[in-house]
Amino acid sequence: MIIAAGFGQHELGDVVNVAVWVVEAAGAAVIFVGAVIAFAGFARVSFRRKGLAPFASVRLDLGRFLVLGLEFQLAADILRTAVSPSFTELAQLAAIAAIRTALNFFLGMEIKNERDLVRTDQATARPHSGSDEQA
Amino acid sequence: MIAIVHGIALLVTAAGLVAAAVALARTRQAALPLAILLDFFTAASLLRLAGPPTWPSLGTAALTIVIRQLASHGLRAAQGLTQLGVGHRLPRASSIREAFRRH
Repeated sequence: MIIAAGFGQHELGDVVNVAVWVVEAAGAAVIFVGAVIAFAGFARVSFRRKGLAPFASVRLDLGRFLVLGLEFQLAADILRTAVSPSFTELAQLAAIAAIRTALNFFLGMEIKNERDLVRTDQATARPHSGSDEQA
Repeated sequence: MIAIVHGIALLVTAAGLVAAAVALARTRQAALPLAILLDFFTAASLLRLAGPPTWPSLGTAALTIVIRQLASHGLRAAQGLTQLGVGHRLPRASSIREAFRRH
């Protein structure tokens, strides 16, 4: 209250808007960088390696970038509601939080499935590795 | 900023199409390229959430995630049935007719 009275609500709103812009840009940058890295990874994996496991690991990396970018977006929305929150803004924040939670949950499930796929793929690729190590 | 982000989202969508096409050509399977495509579409829809969120952009992101889940589950289930050989166990009409003729 003291800070708000000293700055004035208008100035505080400007500061928050700049912070929101910075955080949202950071989130967008994280998602874009993740997409670029994933695209390069898919290209590399497609032309160099065989099997599905390398694709799965690239997908997992992309999923992690998406979750991180979504965290930034959620932070920006929380900042946006710091100054004069309206019911619409709060509802949109709740929607973003729900999307983020759902995406986190589904990505966690996919990570588990993809890990199983990676293990299966590795097991079929090297069926006699255990006997080789013993020998 | 919103125009830039939407342009980047378009780029990400195009990258997803290319990556999915390459993966399809490489693996000859439908599930993986579709999953890759939907991953990039999810990234694009999350990029469009940057800036003041609107209900259409939120709906698009949520719908993309739902479609992604449905498609991946459906394809995984179909793949599992194929691996189990369920799709080949049903007798064909010609084999049933042949069996009747023999008896």
